[in-house]
Amino acid sequence: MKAVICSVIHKLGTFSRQSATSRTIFTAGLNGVRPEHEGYATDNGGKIYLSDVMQNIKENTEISRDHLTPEIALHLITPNCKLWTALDGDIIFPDPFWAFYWPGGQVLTSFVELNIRLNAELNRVHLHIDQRNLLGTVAEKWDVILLGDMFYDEVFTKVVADWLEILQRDFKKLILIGDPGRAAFVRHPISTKLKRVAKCELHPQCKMENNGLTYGYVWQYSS
Amino acid sequence: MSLRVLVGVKRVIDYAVKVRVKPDKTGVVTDGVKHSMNPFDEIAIEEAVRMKEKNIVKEIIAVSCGPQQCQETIRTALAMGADRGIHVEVAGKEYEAMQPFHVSKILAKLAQEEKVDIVLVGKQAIDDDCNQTGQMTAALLDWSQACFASKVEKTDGELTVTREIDGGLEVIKVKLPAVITSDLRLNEPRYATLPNIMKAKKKPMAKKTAADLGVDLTPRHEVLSVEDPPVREAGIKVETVEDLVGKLKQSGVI
Repeated sequence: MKAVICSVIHKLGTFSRQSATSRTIFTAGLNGVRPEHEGYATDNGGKIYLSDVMQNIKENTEISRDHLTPEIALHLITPNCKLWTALDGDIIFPDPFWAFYWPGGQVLTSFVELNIRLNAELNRVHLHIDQRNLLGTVAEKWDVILLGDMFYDEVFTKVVADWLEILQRDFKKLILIGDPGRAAFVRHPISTKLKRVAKCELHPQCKMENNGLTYGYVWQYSS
Repeated sequence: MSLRVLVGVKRVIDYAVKVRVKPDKTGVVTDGVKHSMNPFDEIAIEEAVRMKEKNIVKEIIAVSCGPQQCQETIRTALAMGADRGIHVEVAGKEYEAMQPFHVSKILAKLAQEEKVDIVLVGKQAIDDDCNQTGQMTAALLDWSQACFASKVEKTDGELTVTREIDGGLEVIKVKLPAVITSDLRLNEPRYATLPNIMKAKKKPMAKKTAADLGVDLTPRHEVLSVEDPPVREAGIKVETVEDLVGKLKQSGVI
């Protein structure tokens, strides 16, 4: 069985580093992997080194297993990190969406692990990362489509929902969605076509990152 | 988990700013002055978010009436945990002349449009100290009202609200739908943290005008003059108790 996991790619984006004398702005569009010493060209003609990026991430995050899939350790911004209380202007990573383990992704990962024993079969799972935008493409080669936290914004919700409708109606794919019940999702008509297959209380840490949200849900799309 | 709440959030001069009266006495200086969310409205948002976290509330809509900058106030409410925002744009002269009567008409109309069960607002704003919006909204909607709330609990189809009154507390039951106004001791609002501030940027915010809602913004009362409080007169220092008694007798206090 072939499954595709859809998620939003959170780029490191514009990376700024404060020094005593100057403020250097780097742009890190990290496409593909290169040796650490080669560096990436930036918009302003400079270079950024992967080792610097990794160092910055290590310095500003904490390795955390405080989430619904504790067998996976992740570098995350937690209340123990100084960026937790940083205001927009003070941070070296603008909008570090990648530094938080989103609730829909947590509950979906946990559900998938439980139900298809991903861990046990890890050695036989072939993982392929495709950075192209697959929305709107015909997903013929996959049997299962998994989406985590894709419904956080009204416009994007519509794009994803239209795509899923076609996949379900014309191709009868198995579609599983992880979402904590965000407004854009629950208000969209797609929610009437979903069957809830899992509900999980979020960890206190995750609740703190998502004021007002308390549960993560996995939904199965059915016509 | 079924209730929908509309929370009014007003953008006011920050509580820590020393307010200055305009030389022409038509109002106070607002240009270049730090603004933030009315503290009582922060308490109102916090209460709504806590109700959502207890699964009493399904959706929180934050609304603010005023100029473009009100969107920052709404973003703060979204970062605290509101689900979506409505900015009712009122600018220029109309904004300067806007009164609680107009705001309550806007809130009442939105409450009906959005089919909410609870309207939650601060008991008063720290700029004009009117303490009218909640009460007038309840009157316009013909809903129950529970003002100066220091505790809100859900019991079946009703709310049990503890109210701060002179000399004590009063506990009342109100039927839904209802208007609640928050008092200082209702809760202690949370600070918006980075992950919440970031995620708030992705939450939906609709923009409307008073005309869209059929609300006429003609002022109902006229501000004649805004004055600074009288300057306190200097005191004197006395050396002994006898001096003090002498001075008090002299001024006719004793």
